[in-house]
Amino acid sequence: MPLSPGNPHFPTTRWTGVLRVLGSEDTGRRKQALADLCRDYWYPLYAFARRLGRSQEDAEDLTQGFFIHALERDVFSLADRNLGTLRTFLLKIFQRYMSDVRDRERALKRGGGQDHLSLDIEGGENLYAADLATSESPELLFDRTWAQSLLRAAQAALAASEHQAGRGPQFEILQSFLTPDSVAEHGYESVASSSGMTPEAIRQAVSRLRKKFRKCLREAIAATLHDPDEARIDEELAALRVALGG
Amino acid sequence: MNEDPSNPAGRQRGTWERDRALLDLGFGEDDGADDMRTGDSGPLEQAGDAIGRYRLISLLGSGGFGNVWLAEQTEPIRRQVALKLIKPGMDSREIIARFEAERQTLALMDHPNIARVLDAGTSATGRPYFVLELVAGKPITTHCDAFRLGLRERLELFIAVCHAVQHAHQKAILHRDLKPSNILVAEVDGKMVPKVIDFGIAKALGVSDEVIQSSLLATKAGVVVGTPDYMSPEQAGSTPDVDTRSDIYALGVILYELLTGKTPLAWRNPRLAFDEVLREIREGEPANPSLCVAKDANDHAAANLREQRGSETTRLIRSLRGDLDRVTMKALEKDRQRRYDTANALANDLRSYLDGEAVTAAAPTWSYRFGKFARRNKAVLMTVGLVAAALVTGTIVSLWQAHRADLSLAAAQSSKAEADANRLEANANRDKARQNLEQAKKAFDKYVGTVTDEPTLKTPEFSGLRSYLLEGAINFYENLDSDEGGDLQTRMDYARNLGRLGTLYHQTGNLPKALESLRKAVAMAEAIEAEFPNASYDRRASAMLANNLALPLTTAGNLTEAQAMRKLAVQLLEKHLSEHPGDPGVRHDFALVLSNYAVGLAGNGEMDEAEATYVRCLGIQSALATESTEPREIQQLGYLQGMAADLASRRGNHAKADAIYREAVELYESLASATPPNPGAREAAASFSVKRGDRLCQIGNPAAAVPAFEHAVEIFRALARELPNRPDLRLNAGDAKLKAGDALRDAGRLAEARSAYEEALALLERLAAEFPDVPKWQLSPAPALEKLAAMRTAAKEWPEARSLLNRAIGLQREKFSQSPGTEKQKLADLLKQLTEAHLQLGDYDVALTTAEGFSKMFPDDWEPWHWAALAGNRGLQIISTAAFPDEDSRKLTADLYAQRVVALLRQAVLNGYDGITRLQATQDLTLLAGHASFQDLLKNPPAPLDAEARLKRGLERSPLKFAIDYKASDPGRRLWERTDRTWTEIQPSGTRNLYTVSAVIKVNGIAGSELSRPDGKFTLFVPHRDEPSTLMMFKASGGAWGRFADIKDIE
Repeated sequence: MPLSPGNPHFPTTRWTGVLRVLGSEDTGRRKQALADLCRDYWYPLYAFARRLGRSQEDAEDLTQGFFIHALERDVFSLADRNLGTLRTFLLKIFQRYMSDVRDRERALKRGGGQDHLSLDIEGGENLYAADLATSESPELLFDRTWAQSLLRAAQAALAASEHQAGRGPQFEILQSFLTPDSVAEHGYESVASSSGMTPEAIRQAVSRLRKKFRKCLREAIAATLHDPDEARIDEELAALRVALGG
Repeated sequence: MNEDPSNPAGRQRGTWERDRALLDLGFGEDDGADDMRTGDSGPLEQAGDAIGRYRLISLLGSGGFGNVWLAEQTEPIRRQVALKLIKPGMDSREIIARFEAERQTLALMDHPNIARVLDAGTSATGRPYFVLELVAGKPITTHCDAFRLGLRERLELFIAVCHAVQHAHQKAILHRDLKPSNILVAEVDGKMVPKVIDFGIAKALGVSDEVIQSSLLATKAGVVVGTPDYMSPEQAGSTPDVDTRSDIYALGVILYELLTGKTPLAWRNPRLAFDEVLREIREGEPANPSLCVAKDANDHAAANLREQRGSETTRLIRSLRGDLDRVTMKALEKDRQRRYDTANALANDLRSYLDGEAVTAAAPTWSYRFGKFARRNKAVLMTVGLVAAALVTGTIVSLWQAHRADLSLAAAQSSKAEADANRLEANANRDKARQNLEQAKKAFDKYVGTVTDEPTLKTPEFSGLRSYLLEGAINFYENLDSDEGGDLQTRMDYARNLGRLGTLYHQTGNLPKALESLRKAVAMAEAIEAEFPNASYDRRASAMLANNLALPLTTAGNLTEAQAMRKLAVQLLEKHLSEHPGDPGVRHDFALVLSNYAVGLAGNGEMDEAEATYVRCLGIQSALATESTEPREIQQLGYLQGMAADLASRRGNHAKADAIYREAVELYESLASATPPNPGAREAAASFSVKRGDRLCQIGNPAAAVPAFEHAVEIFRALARELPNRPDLRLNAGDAKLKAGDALRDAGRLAEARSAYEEALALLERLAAEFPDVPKWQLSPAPALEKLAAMRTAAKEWPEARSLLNRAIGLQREKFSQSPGTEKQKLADLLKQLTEAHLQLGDYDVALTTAEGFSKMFPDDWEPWHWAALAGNRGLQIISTAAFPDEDSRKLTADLYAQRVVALLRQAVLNGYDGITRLQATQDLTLLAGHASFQDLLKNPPAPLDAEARLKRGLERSPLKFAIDYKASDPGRRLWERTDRTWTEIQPSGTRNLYTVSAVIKVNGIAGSELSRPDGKFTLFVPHRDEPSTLMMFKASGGAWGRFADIKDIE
């Protein structure tokens, strides 16, 4: 089944853990970890390549080839604290990969019996097409799509945990109030009647939900940091904030 | 909630806001409670809560440290205040302790433009809070726009802010977070009063700079977003490091914003990724405020300021330009040492500006630009050894200072001196001082010499650096003691230094100052000579001063004065020479000075005197060259001989010129035999022999030139045999032989000319074969080949002519690929000649191919195509009379051939040839007339291309993609892509630049596209794919075309 951008199954293992797995001898686990990484982070790289002016085919080749190349060459084991976050590291080595690869090689690899990671390129291309109106630099686009992927993943994790705790129906109602939006505030009344909760109770529940989302988001970010702590998570948050146009 | 990726509408910018808000939740407060349990939570404090003696009324806003509430103080007085409640999670006890320490200092801050910290304490739940004076006002930028304040009023407000900041700095309190939202303008008693808020809070909280850096970017939903716009470069570094000057930087940004409407970052590029923003802060060069306003005349600030009493944009620009620009940029210096030291300094400069006085912010000097230049070119500078030179300067300065100290000591002592003993000591000190100075000056002269002679520095890109380094020397000389009184020695010293100074000025292009210093120096020298006509002193130095003054005088057009100086130089040196008759150095200088004088005389038309002077200086120099084997003596002799011979020639006295050359040759040869092996002298003999031959040819006596050339050939050949490591001598021999051939040809001795050419050719081809790696020598046989070909052609010896032409063309193509501009014409000529040879030999097919190749070199001109068509016409004639197996094959061949010829004609017409009807009258086109394509062309001639069509055609020849390696700002590989007429350049940083193809032009004979920018600052040139050049050119508006980059990976 093709993987669409921002698949719900965001790895909650931390990056260091992923790295350990990638460095292990067990090819099965490595492949799985690679597939996980690829599934979650391929779109920003694809968008980056597209924004640089590569054609759809080229960008697809590059993105696919990159992960395969990364696995083969154990690139991720090189990642350490000095290389910053997974976000910047990935972009850096992807850029390096892009410039190293020759067209010939790429053509050879295409369909050459290699491991083939199926990516929802069409979905990605649609996403990208919608973004074409912006004038962002490729790096900025990468950061922004990365941030958006993370947000999607955090939302998905929140949804999963709420459902698991048996609060599924309530979550479905409340999730639209997640963002502190003045329009949403007025909406409490309308929801109150249908849900049987007082507006005040709804307000409190939403407040709780927001706190949980915060936790999910910070965890998702932590998963992309090496030795994360609160300050570093804040830093990364700030960087992503800038990417989203703040 | 999950986005449907197939719905692009779901990805509009609107969703970004929601994403931003979602992301903001990631910040938030961590109240420590694990809310997965139960759960009440809400803001920890609420309206109505009492904190100390304050009651919270409503939430004003949030910052990185907590919330700001509007609160009411209940006792001892009722008033409204701003209460800043610090978020929990910060170690309260430590905060409070630090806080108390700061509190004293904060309380000491009493300034009308600083919001006072009224109180501080801890809440019942243990959270620290500050109580601040409530400022009801808008951020300063909003305020100025809302009230449409003009330039003066804005500056007045800003100056008040500076004073406030100064006040705090003097109490060692930094703000660290200055930005418009922290400078509120309130109305107090009908006046507008700016107040800076949040002073010192950060420090009191003991927050590290890293957290400040990230908190500057943090936000809470619904509140003003923090931006890094006001962050100073040192804060944006990897280890943030702040002092008072960081606050001044922030003030600079605010000033910039007040003047232009946006912060420097906002002007530069509105959308950058986080790391890029920090890099931009550290390294990006903001545009001057006046330029920003000029750029965007519709900008609101400009509009506001414009409306202020009808000042137009231009007036605004004018008032911004210059001092106000400089003041702003000084506050924004990346290097904080170059910024204003204090906020008051900034305020004072602004005050000066408003009062119409000079500001201290200097125009950017070369030393400032040198800093950036040095950083970029550090490697080059190191290799050139200039760092060492700079170190020397340092030593000199200390020596010089020692000298001054000693001198003043000596002066002091001598004034007190009574006894002789004291006087002796004073003199000893003075001598020591003088010694120090001499040492310093020697070292300095060496420094100046190094800089002046360093070849790297003579290249255009370093000329600025060279000037800068020499200007440093100027400073030194200007500051030397100006001891105008005093004894002869001191005065001479001073005059000499002035002379050096003047020469330096001349070399750095400052003509007025050069004249000023040199004139003064010479005046002093003249005064000294007048006072001490019989004393023995260094008249040589004075003479050189006068000689050197003549140079700038000539440049300035002061020819009479210049000549007077030269005469003075001669006189002084003569006198000096009489005292030091044998001194070779003096004689060398004397000969030189005499020759300069002679040049002046010749310029004045005093030819006889000039000649006589040359004779004199030649006499001196010949003797010198004979006595000493130093190369410089031989060189000067050669130089002087050349000058003398030139003069003789100009006077029409060719015999005399010839005699000079002959004598020169003899002199050198006798030198050589006197001091063997002396290759230098023999080489000089040979070159003079060549010069002699050249001159003889020029005056129309080639026969006499031949032996001169042959003599040179002999010498060069012999030298080349003796010095196998000097193969260039063989080149000289070959060239001289060629010239002999030319002379023989001109003298009508054709057979001998031919053998001379053949000999030259053989020699040069041997050289080329032995050194395949030296391109110059590979190409050296070309002239011989061409000349031989020309001879054969003239003699109608076609087969030989053709083979020679082919060889010549081979070499010429190589030359053409290297310098297409200069070598194109010759290649074209050779091709024409080859076409002719082919036709003469009956090879019509190859002839036409050659002619086509020739015309293709000029795709946009009609003459070559016309010529080629006519050549083709002759080919047709050959076909009509050549032997063919049968008539059908003849007809077929003729048909195909004719089509090609017509195609050539058609292209001629397209390119503007309008004489096709006349053509029939003047040429025999009967054979062409029979072909349908020709008739077609006559009936429906194509319209010549207009500019638009030419552009389109040019675009077909233009590449679609290429890459360049850019070495300057944002260095690296840049991709260029074209869509129709638009080129996009993608820089390594991701920035994109757009260009339009505005025309099809030729630069240095190469056709290509001209690219323009929207702002018209400069144009670029991209050669066509099929042109033999991959050189991209650049032209600033009003400038000339220059090399920009090599293009690669062309598609």
